[in-house]
Amino acid sequence: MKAEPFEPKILAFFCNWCTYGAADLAGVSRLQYPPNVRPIRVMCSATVSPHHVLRAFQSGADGVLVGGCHVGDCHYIYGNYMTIKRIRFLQELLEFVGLGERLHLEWISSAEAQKFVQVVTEFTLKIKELGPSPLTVLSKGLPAMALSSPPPRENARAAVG
Amino acid sequence: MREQIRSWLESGEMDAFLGFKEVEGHPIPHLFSKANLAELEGLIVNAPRYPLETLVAEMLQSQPGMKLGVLGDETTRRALNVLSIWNQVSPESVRVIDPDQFAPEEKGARKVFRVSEPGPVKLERGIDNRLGVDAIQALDGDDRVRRWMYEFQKCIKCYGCRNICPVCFCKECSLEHQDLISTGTVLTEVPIFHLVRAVHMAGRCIDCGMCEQACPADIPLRLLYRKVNSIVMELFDYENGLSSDQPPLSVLGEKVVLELKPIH
Repeated sequence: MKAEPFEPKILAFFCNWCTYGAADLAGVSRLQYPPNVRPIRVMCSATVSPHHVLRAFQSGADGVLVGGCHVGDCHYIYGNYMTIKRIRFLQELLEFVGLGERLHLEWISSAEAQKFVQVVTEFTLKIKELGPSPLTVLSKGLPAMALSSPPPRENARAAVG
Repeated sequence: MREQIRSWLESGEMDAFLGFKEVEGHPIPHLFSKANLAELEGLIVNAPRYPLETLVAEMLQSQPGMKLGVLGDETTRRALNVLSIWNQVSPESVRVIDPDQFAPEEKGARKVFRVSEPGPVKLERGIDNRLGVDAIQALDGDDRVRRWMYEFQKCIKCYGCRNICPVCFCKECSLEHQDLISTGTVLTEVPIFHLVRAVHMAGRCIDCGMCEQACPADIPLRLLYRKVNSIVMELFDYENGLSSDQPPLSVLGEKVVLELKPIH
């Protein structure tokens, strides 16, 4: 049997005023892009707390994409000032624990359907290259999270009886 | 030092002094005041580090305007600075008394925590608590995530790291938020529990190391938070406990100075 190709699950937070508009425009313009992205519309990219991103990874997302308005174009004037601080911080933290590069932030205005398609395509490709999230892989071994080779089970059972 | 504290208490320059007293062989936090000056003889100055700052914040909230002295050192000062930035203490009400200032020749006599030697399993699968941030960064990404997850999954969810933390004070804690992290169940959800705490340490952690000492599972928390601190330093040029500004993730800032990270 041929192995199924890896189709990543990517969770996306798109701001209502810009990136979601771009996604809408991409759809109306019949532009093609990979179907791996599951969008969640938020009122502003600044409403995306680090908690949401961490929860996404904990729940098995292979990647998280955050889309907001360009700096200066935020519907709430300064919302994305906070977004970039949070996401840049979180990117560095995730990198340190080895989950790096699975979180991406992009500014996409509602007119930039082409850019939207390009970002989604590139990010999906990148996650495909990276492979499934290490958390999903490791958690299959939970609770012991056996990392190197697990102790030989059969022998252990035989010893018990 | 005892004489100095005695005179401050007598003159009313200080309403009370928070230090340690030996009770049945153990140093216990104790409040020395004018009413019990004789007890000052039993003041212990070389007790292991314990978050007296939390007690200071509690006392000042129940009795604002009280002039308080507290036994401590540089970390205590930084912790109190962080707490004052977060409006938990008023800096003019607290004076930190560092025993080293009074007896410099005894410096270093204070009991310090030691990091334990890692065993063979920890060396093979986990992270040596004595390593620095750079040593971890040098590891290959896959190895790094495996090692961190090995450390995190040892967590018994005792909340000791949060409870001992001198700069943790929120009434509602994200680590007990039902929608974010389920409470009352073990095993701990890995890594969200520790990463949420790490996120909250941004702009706060003063690197006192008590969380790691309190951890019964020997998770290298100090190392993780040191990285958090260095990210905050690199991205925002902010040093917890020394800067008097609001922490970077609490304010919007005047302009955007950071750049987006490219996909490739």
